[in-house]
Amino acid sequence: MEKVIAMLEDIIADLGFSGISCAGANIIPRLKEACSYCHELNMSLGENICMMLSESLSQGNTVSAAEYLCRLSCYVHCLIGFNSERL
Amino acid sequence: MDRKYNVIADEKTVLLAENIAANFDENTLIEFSNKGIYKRALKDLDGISDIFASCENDMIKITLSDVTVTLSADIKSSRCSCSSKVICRHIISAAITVSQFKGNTNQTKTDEISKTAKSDNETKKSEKEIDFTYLEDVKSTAVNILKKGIMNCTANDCELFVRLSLRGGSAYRNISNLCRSFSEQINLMNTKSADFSQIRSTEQICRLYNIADALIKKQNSVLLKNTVYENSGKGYFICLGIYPRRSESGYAGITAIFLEKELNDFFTYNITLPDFYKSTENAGNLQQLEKLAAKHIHWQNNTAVIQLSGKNFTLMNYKSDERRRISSSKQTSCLIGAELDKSMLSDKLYMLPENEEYDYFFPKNTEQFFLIKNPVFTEVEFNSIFQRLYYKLSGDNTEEIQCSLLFNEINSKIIRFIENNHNTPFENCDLLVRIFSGKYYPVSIIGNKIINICF
Repeated sequence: MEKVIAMLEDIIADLGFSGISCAGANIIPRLKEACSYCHELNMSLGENICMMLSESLSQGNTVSAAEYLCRLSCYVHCLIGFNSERL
Repeated sequence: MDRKYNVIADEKTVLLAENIAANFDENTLIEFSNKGIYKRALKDLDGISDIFASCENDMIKITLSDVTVTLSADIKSSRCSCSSKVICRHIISAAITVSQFKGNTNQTKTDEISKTAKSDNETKKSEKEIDFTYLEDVKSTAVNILKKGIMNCTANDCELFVRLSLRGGSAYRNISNLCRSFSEQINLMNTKSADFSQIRSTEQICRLYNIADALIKKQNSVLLKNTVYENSGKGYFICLGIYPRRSESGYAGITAIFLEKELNDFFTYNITLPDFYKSTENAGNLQQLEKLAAKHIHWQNNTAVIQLSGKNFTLMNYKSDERRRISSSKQTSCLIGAELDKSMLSDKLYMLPENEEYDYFFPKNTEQFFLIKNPVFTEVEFNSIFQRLYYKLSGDNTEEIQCSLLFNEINSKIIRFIENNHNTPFENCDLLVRIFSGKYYPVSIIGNKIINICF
């Protein structure tokens, strides 16, 4: 679980910092990897959000990608629960 | 009156409710409380989906989200599980719920009453209250930032978020604070400060989007509710410590921690100043905060918070909110009594509080407190790369707790205190510890006298 959370946090931080419009080419493979980890751990909601985010990015739909990125951030926050350093 | 909530009750409870409903008309309820509490009680009911009612002798036990009210036909004999000692808004909410059964004799004789109705007028009213243009602006600004990336944000974006924060004002306090925090993050990034964090800034902008989106979709209109202080009557307190605080969103102040002796629970008293105005830009430095603690400005008799440290005192006519924060109302008067007697501290205060459940939209910023008997700071080490002091905290009633403190002006004195006193147990003393979002912060050493280690 910690591994998936760390992986998703990295993706969120990279996408937010560099921007959806200029997301690196490696972001989609990373999202797909996160998807498969989520699948293994039965985290179906995480798997769905990652899949939709990856699809939006590959289609160049930036508005939808922004929405899924926000959903992913909310999902990861809820997985972590408390973390004062971040809030 | 249309209800937005479901009342779940058995037949016996419904019959009893019908019998006593006539006692709770609007005028009577206002007479026993006041118009403000009545309105607040009505508003509270809007935010509740299910109300459970059951019979208890001649009384009706009503569960409203996190409180339980035992309602009697004579409202003065009703009780509530909250901290209030007078007729609180929960009792009024329960009475309003029961008053709905008036004249419903033929309709409500079912095992389960579950009706949901929404008045068109009320919906229109709540639509008026929400400023959709502002929320759409917040949402589209967040999307634009996510599209172009935080790394491309400039001083103009900083100003844009400050303007959004000012537009939000107190009506959208959480959005307003987030805008200011995000603006500060852009500033930190542009000044190449080590305090800038990619994940933190991305999470802030995502949270902004999510809150605005939830409000637009009216999923979380309760996000707009403001703090309501209710009259709690007379209370006997001990002040166990004072600490300074400063937030990223531009507020600074001090918090005093009070123990209510009858309830045996902690209350806080906060003094907060915004430090983003020119006239108050130095309000957040430690010296100013120390001065603030010594200012004779609180309650009716102009008490200084520092006067209360380690003292027993009585607050007459005090007001407190759901999060057990005491208001600075000028109707409250304070009578300072004798010095603290440590034998009055019960065993319950030494128990580690349970973690609160996490909710993304309502992260409970409520602080929790507990005491450590004979505390000792061990394995104290300052990491100069992260500018953090790492240490372990232990005592007779707790195992070792790993803690850390970021070096900044607010924490400077406490860091010095820990470094000077490491590996030295404080015999026959207690340490008051504040827990905030899962992290532990020492506040004061309670011995014969109280030492506020943050000042």
